[in-house]
Formats: sequence, structure tokens, C-alpha cells
Amino acid sequence: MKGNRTQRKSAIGENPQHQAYHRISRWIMGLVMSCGLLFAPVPASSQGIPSPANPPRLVNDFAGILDQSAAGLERLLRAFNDSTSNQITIVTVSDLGNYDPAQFAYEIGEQWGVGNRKYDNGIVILIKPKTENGNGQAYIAVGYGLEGAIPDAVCKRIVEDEMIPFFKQDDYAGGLLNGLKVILPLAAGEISAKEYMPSSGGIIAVFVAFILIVVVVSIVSAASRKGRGDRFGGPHDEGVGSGLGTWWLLTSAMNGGHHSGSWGSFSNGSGSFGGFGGGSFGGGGAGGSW
Amino acid sequence: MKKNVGCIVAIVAVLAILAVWFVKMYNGLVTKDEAVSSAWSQVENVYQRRMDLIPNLVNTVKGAADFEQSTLQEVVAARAAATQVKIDPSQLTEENIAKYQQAQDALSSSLSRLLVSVERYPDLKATQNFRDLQAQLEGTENRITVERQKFNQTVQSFNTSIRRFPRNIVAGMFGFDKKGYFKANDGAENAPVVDFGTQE
Repeated sequence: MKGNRTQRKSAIGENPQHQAYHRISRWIMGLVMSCGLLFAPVPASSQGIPSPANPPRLVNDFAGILDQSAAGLERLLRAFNDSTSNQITIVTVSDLGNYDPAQFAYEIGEQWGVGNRKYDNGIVILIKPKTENGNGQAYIAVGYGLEGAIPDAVCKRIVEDEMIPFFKQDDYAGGLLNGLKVILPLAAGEISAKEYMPSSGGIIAVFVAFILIVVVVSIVSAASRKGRGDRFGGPHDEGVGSGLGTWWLLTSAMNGGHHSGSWGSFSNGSGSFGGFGGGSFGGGGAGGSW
Repeated sequence: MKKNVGCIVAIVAVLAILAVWFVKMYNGLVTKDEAVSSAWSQVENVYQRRMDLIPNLVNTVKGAADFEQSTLQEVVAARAAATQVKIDPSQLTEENIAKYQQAQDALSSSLSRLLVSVERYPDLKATQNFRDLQAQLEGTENRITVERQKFNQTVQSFNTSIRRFPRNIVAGMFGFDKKGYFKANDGAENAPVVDFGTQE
């Protein structure tokens, strides 16, 4: 850019008569320079908070604890982003710097702009694995728009009851998947915080209800389509209620988790991720340590 | 004659440009002023949220056998005092904000004393009800930190713009005054609530 400028300047300097010309071209140069500044990479605004990967990803395993499960989680979260526009990002770091987990997760959400600018529907799941000289920390930060759907007390229970038991055994992917089993339906509005709160039994009841609905709907739709041999239409049946989207995503992801290598068969969310949408956070969420 | 007409046209054009510029500056200030008011209402919201949690907390703690009454009464009194301090969003002066912050900080410190004494009642601490309240309180403290920080940023942008030339002339004419900040505090606000969640 600098070289370009001197080159042009000397070219104009050879024409001393065209003073106005000179001024205008300098003005244009100024404009070009400021445009250049606009596109220059933004320096990391605060130490310790990582900048988002480029191209952006929803699973950012900076601590390297997720291994091959990262790709499956990424696909699950992309599919969820595509179908509901709720952006959930997983961030693992090996060091929180001087931040406490709540602040760290909040800063990531705010600086990366997780969630849609209009709806502020982002979630940051932060994990700092347990090391010899530090506790493990997990935190779920919830964007403004989802604070009602996922209150702090629910975040706390998800972290302590659904995730940490797995994290204690170094099964980070398992803990995340188990937590997402609750977070996804909550964020999508398929279950309410109250339904989850009484006990973890509530969520199982909801899952059972979903399965029953699938079966009933399949039977009904199969019966209404005369002359078809296959009574229990496939899972892609049009008759299946829209609320089943998350359930379908999750069961696919979880099956993938059990038989390693079958992540590829889960094709729903293979589309690319368009980047974070500029959502804002207000400090909602909760976490725990182990 | 022709020269005169040209002169008048030039003067009118300059005046028109000045007027447009003036209106733009004024409107910019109004927008910034409104941003401060809305940031303030967010601050009030999160403090209100904390005050709404306190009766529930007090009731939960009261249920624990022989919980020291003085600590509870202190929280109730501090809450009542904090409720009294309200600021008109058009009067966000330094003194008013300091007064508001003082009342809320008094509540913060009595709350933290309450939470410290809860440490002596493991049965109470283990109840699901208390755990939920604890999560809500921690979340609210985080929200308070965030909204105060956002408020300070908005105020800073406003204060800078009313002091810069030539906007300071417009600001002076229409009485846009400097607004107050939340002072970084001496630890009364943020320490204990986050602490006690991680102990165990």
C-alpha cells in the first residue's frame, strides 16, 4: 500500500501545472488508505480471549480435547443453526488467563458476536479441562434472546448434572452431547425450562413422548396412504411434526458417537457455516467446576 | 448587480450548509443521549432483578433452623434502602449515580455476608432450592457487571462527544451535561457471590 502511494505521487509530481489534479488525487489516496484500514485485521482487543477461527467454526477445540468428535459436533451444531438460527458454539481452552469462566465465556460471545444480531440467540459453551494444577471449569453463557428459554438455574443443572459427570472421566465429547441433549430442545422451544427442571426424568418423558408421536404419526400417515407396503414410513416422513427436528438431529449424532466412523452418514448439516451473526450477551448463564 | 446576486447566493448556500450541519450535530447528540438512557434502564433492570430475588432467598434461608436473624434483617433493611434510591434518567449526574451505587453496594455487601454465613449450614446449601437461587444470584451479579460496563461505555462516548469542538458549542446551547460513571468498586460488589459457587 505504501509503495503504491509513493509510486502514484511521483507520477503526479511530474505534472506541476495540474495542482487541482494533485489535490484531488491526494484526497482519493486518503480515501483508499482509510479503506485499507477498514479491511486491516482487527487486533485482538484483549489479551487471553482467542479470536474466532477463519473460516469460522462452531466447535473451537483450542485445548485439543475433542479429537475426532469435533467434526460430528460441528455438523450437529451447524444443522441446528440452519434449522433454528440459534448459534451454539463450543470453545475449549487450556487456560483462562485472568478471567473467571463467566467473564471469559461472555467476552467470547460478545466479541465473536455469537447469535443473530436481531434475536441475540447465541450460546457459548466454554470448557477448560482439568489439569494437574487447575480445576476443570465449564460454563454456559446465554445470549440476551435465549435468557428466557434457558435460565441460569437450568444452565447450572445442565453443567453440574449432565456434563460434569462425563467430564470427570475425561469424556468431553460425551458430556457435551449429553448437555446438548437438553440445550437444543430448550433453545428450540420444544421443551420449557419447567419441563426440564423438576428432575432429569422430565426430559426422558419428553423424549418418550416424541418417540410415541413418531410412531403414531407414522402409522396414521401410512394408513392414510393406501396401497403401500411399508407401514412404518422412514424417518423422513413428511407427517412427522416439526418439533422432531432436534430429536432427529440428536439421535443421528448420538448413533454416530457410538459407532465411531459413522459420523459421515449424518448428512443433514453438511452445509457450510456462514459465520457469526453479531449477537449480544448480557451476562446470563451459569457454570461449574470439578 | 450581477456580482451582488452571486454574493447573496453564496451566503445563503453557506448558511444552508451550516444549518444542516448544525441539525446533524444536534440530532447526533440526541441519539447518544437516548443511548445513555436506554443503557441506564438496562442497569436498573438488572439491579431490580437482584432485588426481586432477595425475598425468595430470605425465605429459603429463614427455613434453616436458627439461622442468625441479624444477618437476614440487615439484608432486608439494605434492600428497602436501595429501593428508595431511584434516578430520573434525565438526571444522570455524577452525584446521583454515586448515590445509587452507594445504596446498591450496601446491599451487595450485606448479601455477601449472608452468603458467607450460609457456608455454615451445609444442609441448607445442599437443597435444590438454594442451589437454584445461588445460580440465579450469580447470574444476576454477572449481568450487573456487564450492564454497568456497557453503561460506562455509552456514557464515555456521550461525554467525549459533548466536549469535542465544535459539538461542545451545540451541547452548551441545548444544555447537554456531562453524565456520571459507575466507579470501579473496592471488591464489595463482585467478590463473594462468585466465590462461594466454586467452593466445595
